[in-house]
Amino acid sequence: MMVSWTEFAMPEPLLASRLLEWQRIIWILLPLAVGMIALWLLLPQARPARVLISALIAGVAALIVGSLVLLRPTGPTVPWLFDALFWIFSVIAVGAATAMIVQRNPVYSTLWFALVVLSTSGLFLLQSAWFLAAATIIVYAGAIVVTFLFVIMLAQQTGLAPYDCQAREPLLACVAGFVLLAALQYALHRAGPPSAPVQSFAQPRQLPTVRQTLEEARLRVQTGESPDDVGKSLYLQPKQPESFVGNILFQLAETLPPVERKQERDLCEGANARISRARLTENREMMVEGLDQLMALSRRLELRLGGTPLSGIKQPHVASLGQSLYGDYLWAVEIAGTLLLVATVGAVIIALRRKEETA
Amino acid sequence: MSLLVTFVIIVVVMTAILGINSYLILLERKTAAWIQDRVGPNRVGFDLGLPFLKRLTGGFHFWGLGQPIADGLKFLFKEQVVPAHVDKVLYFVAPCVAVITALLSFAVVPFGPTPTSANPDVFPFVIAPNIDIGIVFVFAVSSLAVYAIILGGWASNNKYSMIGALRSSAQIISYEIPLGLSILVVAMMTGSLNLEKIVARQAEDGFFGWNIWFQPLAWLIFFTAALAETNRLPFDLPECEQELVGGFHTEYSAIKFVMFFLGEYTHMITVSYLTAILFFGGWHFPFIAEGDSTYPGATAVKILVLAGKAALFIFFIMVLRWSLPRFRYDQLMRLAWIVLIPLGLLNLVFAMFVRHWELSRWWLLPISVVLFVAAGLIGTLVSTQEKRVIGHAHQA
Repeated sequence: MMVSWTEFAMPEPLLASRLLEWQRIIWILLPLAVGMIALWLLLPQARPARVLISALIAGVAALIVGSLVLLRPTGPTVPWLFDALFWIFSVIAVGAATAMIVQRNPVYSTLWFALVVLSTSGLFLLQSAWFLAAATIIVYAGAIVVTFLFVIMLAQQTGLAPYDCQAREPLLACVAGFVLLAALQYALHRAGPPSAPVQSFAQPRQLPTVRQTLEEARLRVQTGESPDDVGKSLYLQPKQPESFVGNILFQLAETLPPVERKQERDLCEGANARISRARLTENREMMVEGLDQLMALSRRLELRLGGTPLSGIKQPHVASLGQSLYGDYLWAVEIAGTLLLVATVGAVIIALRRKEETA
Repeated sequence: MSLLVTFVIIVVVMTAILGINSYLILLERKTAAWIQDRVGPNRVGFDLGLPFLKRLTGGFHFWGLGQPIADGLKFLFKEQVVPAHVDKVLYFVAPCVAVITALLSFAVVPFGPTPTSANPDVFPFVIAPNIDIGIVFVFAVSSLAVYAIILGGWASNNKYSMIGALRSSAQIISYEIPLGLSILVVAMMTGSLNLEKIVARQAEDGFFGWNIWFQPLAWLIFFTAALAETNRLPFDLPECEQELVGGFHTEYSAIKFVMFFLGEYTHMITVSYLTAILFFGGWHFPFIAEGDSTYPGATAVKILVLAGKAALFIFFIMVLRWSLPRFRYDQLMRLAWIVLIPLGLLNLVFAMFVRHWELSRWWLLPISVVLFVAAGLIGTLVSTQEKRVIGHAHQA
């Protein structure tokens, strides 16, 4: 097939933007490539020890270039302490992950893995995902890695095995990892920086208050749209904001003295029921009515709890997480639980059969 | 500003814990002496046996109160023995992990009154205030404490240390489950995992709102499992002297040994504070320290009340150490998996019933007692049956 010259001759501005694009991509790929070489040099092989130093230098270079690329000011400015903590945790995570692969002693490898888990939990904490951080530590660092250690310590009595001292196919593994990471990075780059400022720990004030959420939903209903909140880039994004908020108010009412508690909770339940009936029957007036009731309740609760606007998500962190898990994602949780149960039963059965055979 | 305040609180709390730890060791020795009908350490005063200090103090012995200082100095200045066959890095990392995890888990434990929605102007007497995951954080950090023992045992390169470490990791992982189940009931009753809220709720309801009235069984499970987590005596298989020399710390001496010790005692303090907070109303005490008591010095009294409750539990743990014999290893595992976990699960299910149908909380008291008695009966019946089987085997 003939390729005509005109297809290559692009208009000037388009060519420039393409070049700029390529420049950016190269800047993203460069630290990855240097990191790949460093990792390849570091992997345990039958090679002289001089390689170690050059590999370490390359690794540090990769980290520096990578951080320069990532440091471009895009997101919202955050306090320096959070920034510093982010870099500390990330560098530890990347370094420990490398050390985990490179280490010849499996016990040390396991410990480096534990460090990766810990620093990742630190990153979760910075994103205000407290429960996720704690659960990761309990499940991975506290239970799974300890079990690994247990097995490795029992199995490894004398010296290192040959498969510990020499990596199998180090070059292929490094290239595969590089391609995977490069694809990920490129996809993230193509997606571009988040259009709306990311809702994060740095701007807790920017989270919509309960009343804002309700008012927005009411406005949407009155203009004939669906009450669902479609365009928000919130983590833990509630599919049905008004029922989400209703649940928050219901929980807050729990903190009141008994007499008021009963009254406010009944009101809240009534409003929630009205809203869900309105959703089913697509009755706009009934929906607005329910939202108004919730709004009145939130106003009363605000006065009762000290006058500050009730925040939609920040306040009950674990509670909202539970609501999301056992409300929005009930099926996924149930299926995961059933899978684990099946695995446990299977493990018990296998263990029992072995016992009979040996007896 | 708040950063500075937090920093000051951290320094004060950590120093206080370390100081209290050294005197807890003295208390432990005195308790042991008292139970065994001895006198215990009573000679070392603040002169520490040094001539120039002796002139200053006039040779008075201060009932042995100088003993912890002398002990500490002795451990500090002892020769740093590093056995030749150990793994050099992990051998030193292990005691550090022991101290770090023990101190870190105290970060979310309130040791005095904290601000609530009712009166938000109170100074927060806690290192990290208003942590929503509260008790889960303590859980997460203390689940890392097992690394200290495993690493110490493995790095020592000694079979006694290794056996101690293996026992310990199995024990700690097993007892984490009943511990979690018992705390879950308390969290469910309060509707929050936040330790400050758990205290506030109990203080609001007064003396008969303390969780111990509704959850004596959960308290029992919690206390037993927590004892096992701290490796204290009825559960101190990782270091039992008669079988394993010193267990996981056989090869440790001087300051490295003290760090394991500090970890254990700090853990004990945390457990005692948690018991007081979760089940015994925290800083609340009828008439003296109510939620609305505003007389001058009320805050100090509240801190002292909580510390006093914690001190009682610490003393109880020490008395237990010198009263109960050690478990056998299979008994230990059976206690966790066959007794405590089913009991904890049943208790949780009944608490769910009560919460769901909004019954009076007082239903939980008879339920707890019935569960406890039933478990005791079943346990006695099973153990007598086993004895019979063993007897038959012997006859045959």
